[in-house]
Amino acid sequence: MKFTYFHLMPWPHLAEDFEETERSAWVTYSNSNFDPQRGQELYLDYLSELVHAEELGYDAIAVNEHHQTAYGLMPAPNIMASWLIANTKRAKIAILGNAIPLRDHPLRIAEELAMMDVISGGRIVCGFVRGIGPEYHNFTMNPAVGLDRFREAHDLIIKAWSEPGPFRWEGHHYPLEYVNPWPRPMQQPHPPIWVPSQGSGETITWAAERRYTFVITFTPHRNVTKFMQQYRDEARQFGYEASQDQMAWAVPIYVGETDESAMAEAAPHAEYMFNKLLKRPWPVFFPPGYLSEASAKGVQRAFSGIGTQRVLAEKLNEEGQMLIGSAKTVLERLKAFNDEDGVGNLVVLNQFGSMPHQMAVANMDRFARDVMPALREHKSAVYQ
Amino acid sequence: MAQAAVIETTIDVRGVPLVVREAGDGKTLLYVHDELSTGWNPFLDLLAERFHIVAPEIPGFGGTALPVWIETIDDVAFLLADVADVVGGGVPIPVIGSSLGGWLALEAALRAAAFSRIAAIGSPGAYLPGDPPTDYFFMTPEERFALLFNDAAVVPEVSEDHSVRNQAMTARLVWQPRYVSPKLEHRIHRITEPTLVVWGSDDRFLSQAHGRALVENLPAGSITVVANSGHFAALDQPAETANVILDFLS
Repeated sequence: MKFTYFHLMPWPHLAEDFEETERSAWVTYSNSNFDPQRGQELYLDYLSELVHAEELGYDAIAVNEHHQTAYGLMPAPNIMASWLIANTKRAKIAILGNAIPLRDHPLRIAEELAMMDVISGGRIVCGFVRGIGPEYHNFTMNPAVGLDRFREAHDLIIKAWSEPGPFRWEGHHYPLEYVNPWPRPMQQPHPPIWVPSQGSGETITWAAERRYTFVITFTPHRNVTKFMQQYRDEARQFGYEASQDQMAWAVPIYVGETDESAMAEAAPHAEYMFNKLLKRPWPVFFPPGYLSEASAKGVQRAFSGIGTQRVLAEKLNEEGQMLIGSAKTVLERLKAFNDEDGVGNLVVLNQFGSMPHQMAVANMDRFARDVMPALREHKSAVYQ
Repeated sequence: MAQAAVIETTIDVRGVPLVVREAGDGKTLLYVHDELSTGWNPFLDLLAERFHIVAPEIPGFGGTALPVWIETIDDVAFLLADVADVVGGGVPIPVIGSSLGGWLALEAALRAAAFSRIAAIGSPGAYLPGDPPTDYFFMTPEERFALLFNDAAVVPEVSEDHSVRNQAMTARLVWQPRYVSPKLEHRIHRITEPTLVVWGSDDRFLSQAHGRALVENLPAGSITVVANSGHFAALDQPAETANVILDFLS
């Protein structure tokens, strides 16, 4: 098992009655609630946690992209990544990922990532995402066209990295006379590609076909098992056996002294994340045309009439949507889960919701000391 | 009110197959549906007592496939001009459009002399800085219907399959730029056929100023307001809206 340390950089200062008074932490939650002084402290704390993860032996440290939200303060993940390049030596820097259809031009992404890959000596892991529903509201980007833009932007970036320029790109969304970006990436033909997803069938097939690492995010563990099996099945359809390295699972984890004390300590922050930061009327998250017709029907059925469904930390823990407990419990559960899902990359969040810096660092230290070493040696039953 | 015997067929318009519903006897009248694309409705029953109604589905809506080249209002407008040629046999016919359909009828009329008279109910398209259409995409279905309709009882039933397609195709056409043809005011004067704009008195989605802006530059345009109606006058007040339009067509 390899380990990636992932940060969402949440805003931890939402009011106590946020759930009653605000529609969502996304799109319309006023930025007058952002305090730049507190913002600077947060950025420096959060970035230092990522740097600390390298010291703790993580293979990679990861950032991501979200816009106009208290959920995460990283609208420009490449800025965070370049700060991390300058402040670390060994760890891979994973950007999970750049929301390529939201940018005016994918060539800019190809250029920025190649720059970072060269400067870092080939430490970049490149995630590609479509951007989630709220971002199609933020940018008034057409959700019915997003997937098509994503696919063309991806094809263009990969070709720009893989084939000598200049060449002409007869694209629909990004027609170009000259594609010839300087610099080229250090890793040849290009940095490893990771595809974060909530588990849509179309994305699993698309990632498996290209042998990209599929990253499943924040979902009950039974889904992790299901989606990874789906990925391995798809890989076989494309004529190969998927390796463990091609599968990653992102999960918030809190390690305490005992199961009881861990739950008492983590619950407010877990519930802050899932009930405040993720509060969402479904049209905000799934604008029309964003999902395929088949997926859209499922979502409408699942969400119809529901504004928010409050979840409790106990339930999140029970379902393996996050893991909270003593080191022993967390380790045993992760081993058991791994014997079911076969994942080769654990993407760990030790800070989540409103968890303060010192508490997050102590959690990081306990996880790295008491869980990571034994788990690193664990061989998944799926791959025996 | 008699319910018309509606026949559903598929017509081919220059290689694009469209589901079409038709009913009634008399002169042919083209109906261009709204965002909800409900197939048929009581308003059309009333018109079918006097006209032969032909109601095609816009590609991407209902059960009509979406060719890859149809992406924008412009693409559908040209297609509609072709539809009018096929349905009218090359002779201009009257057209009625509701909401998105009204806008598309006006845009088609700008591109071809396909129509003899145009009635556009609650048509978006005008560019009014500071007075945008309400962003119903950000709303739950319950909030959206409360915005769009005065009478919740008239909110039509649409199958889940069709509803998902209708919403996605609407977004494809109107998301960005949002429900507007920024150049329309400089072009709409080219529609010289008699044109009636119909507006719901209580339209909370699109202010009446949008209707008045359309009429302002139409050489033969006028506006009529239907009382006690939300955005979709043909659905909220079918009888009154049908009367207004039958008057205009006679």
